[in-house]
Amino acid sequence: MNSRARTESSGLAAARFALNAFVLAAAALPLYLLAKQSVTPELETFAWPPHWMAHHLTLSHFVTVFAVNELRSAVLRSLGVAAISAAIATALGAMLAYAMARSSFAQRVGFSTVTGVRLLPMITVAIPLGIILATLGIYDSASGIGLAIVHAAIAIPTAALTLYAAFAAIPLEVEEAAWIDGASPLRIFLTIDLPLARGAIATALILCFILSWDEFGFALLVQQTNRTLPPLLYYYTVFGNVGPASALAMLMMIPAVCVVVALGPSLRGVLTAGSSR
Amino acid sequence: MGDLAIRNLTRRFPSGGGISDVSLSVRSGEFVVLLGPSGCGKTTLLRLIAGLEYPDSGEIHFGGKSIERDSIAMVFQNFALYPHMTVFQNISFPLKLRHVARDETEQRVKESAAKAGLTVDLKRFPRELSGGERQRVALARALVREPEIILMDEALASLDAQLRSSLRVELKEFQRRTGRTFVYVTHDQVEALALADQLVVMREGRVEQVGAPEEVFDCPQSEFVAAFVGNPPMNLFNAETTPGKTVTVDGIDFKIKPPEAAPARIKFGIRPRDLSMEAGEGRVPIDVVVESVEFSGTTYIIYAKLGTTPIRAELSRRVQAGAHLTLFLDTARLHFFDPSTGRRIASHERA
Repeated sequence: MNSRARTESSGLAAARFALNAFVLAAAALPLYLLAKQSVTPELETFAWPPHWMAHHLTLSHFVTVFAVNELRSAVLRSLGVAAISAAIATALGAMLAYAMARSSFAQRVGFSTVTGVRLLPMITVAIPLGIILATLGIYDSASGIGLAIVHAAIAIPTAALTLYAAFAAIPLEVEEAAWIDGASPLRIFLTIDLPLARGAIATALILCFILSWDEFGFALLVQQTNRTLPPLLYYYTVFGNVGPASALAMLMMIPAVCVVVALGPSLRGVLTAGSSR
Repeated sequence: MGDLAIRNLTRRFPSGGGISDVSLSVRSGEFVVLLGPSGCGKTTLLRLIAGLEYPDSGEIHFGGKSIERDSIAMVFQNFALYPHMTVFQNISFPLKLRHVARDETEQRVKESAAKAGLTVDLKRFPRELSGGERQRVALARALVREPEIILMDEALASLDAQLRSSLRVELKEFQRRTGRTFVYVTHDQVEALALADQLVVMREGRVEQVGAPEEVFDCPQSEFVAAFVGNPPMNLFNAETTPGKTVTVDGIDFKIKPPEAAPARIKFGIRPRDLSMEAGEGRVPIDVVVESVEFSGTTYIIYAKLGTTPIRAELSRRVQAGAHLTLFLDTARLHFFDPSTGRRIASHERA
């Protein structure tokens, strides 16, 4: 009985191990091929049959990425757009989330609006958005400010939903104590609620940053010539510059890697922070 | 310093609850306790005084003027400390909002920490403190801006029993020393009787009785107060009377005289401690069968049956369960109530 149970459970463990290995391989293989591509010389890239290991190594693709002006400015522009849009979305999302956490009316309206915005096929508003940005004179600007505003608008629901539960978890009693101590509502929000929700605010900033960093459709439309990284990567690929495109793709993974390395084991907590009490 | 006057205050909630037409006056430096079961409106009344709720109608005056936030401090049930601030930052928060200079702030924080009996390092965070220490931080924070009225909402309820009773003593001493007006909400009658200069018993949004604790205990103005205040609770019997002659419960004649204006059906009550095993002047005997006995530490609580009616007595000696016992009622300590209104009927001895 005992030994049979042990055989069964070790059989189960083997099956689980095999499944894990398969899922890991399926996820890791494209990443490996990309990494290999980024350090393989141009000629070897199209070798047939394909090489599993690069026979020659080169850093020339990375050098190209940094040498070409367009690429360098695209990296900076993407960083700027992501940072600005994350800041705007988190600031506005925090206000929305706070209202939703403290008023049942705002909660009803907030949830239906946020859900509505998320259900809306974004690309349908591309043309009006383009016209608005052109009228404001920030269409295809070198700074990418127009795209930053668009990304902020897209990211507000994400920020608000991340922050909502964090604000709802702050006891009303603590705010009432601050009010009796003499604080104004704005003061209470700034000195009591925001510091208490700082974990969720960090999460919202990271999520909104990655959302913008990775966004392709609006980036393609709004930044026609002053491009950000995702459209640039697309152009490099379709025009056959596989090496530099791979190097660029590797660079684009850096923010995600930074988050994983910096937060490590607490990452699971961060990504679900604010999603439940 | 001034008196607190509450006039015809009403606040109803759509979901039910709240208070109706409550009037109350509190003298400066008094310790007032609002006592009642949950949902009686005591917390609503406190929150109205604090300004956390707006009244539907009625007024709250303090020292002849409308009450202001500056003259009030409050201690919440779960203390409501700011979790991200140190003890020092917690206590100094009200001063920071008033732009008090740094030297003076430090001085006043130290003073009120000492007054609240707080001995912990002020650089620690609330999460590092015990329940009793958090309570002291909350008190020190309430005290630091020298309010005229301190409101407390079940402020000891979340602490363990031993700490609660020692803090109760400290709190009373603290109030005497600072001379502030305290309004204290509790559902714990032991706490209420121990702390109050003036006890306000509330029920279903209305004030049931106001008075010194002894007055409320010895002379409850309604059946509700009689049943709610006192532990073990007062015996209350449904009785029939014949004018000026007899009071019978379940057909058993109690050989006591009903009050003059008593209706045919009446409720009468007697506290368990006003029943004894010794005969004496003004005492009438009743025969009971003991069902069970509890030792309370100083006395024995006897659960017995008088015919079919349950009765509780608090005796100084142990008796055996099942024993037939003659108990003596102190007729000077009977309470009569009109069952149709629930109000007290003045008895002839006192009238």
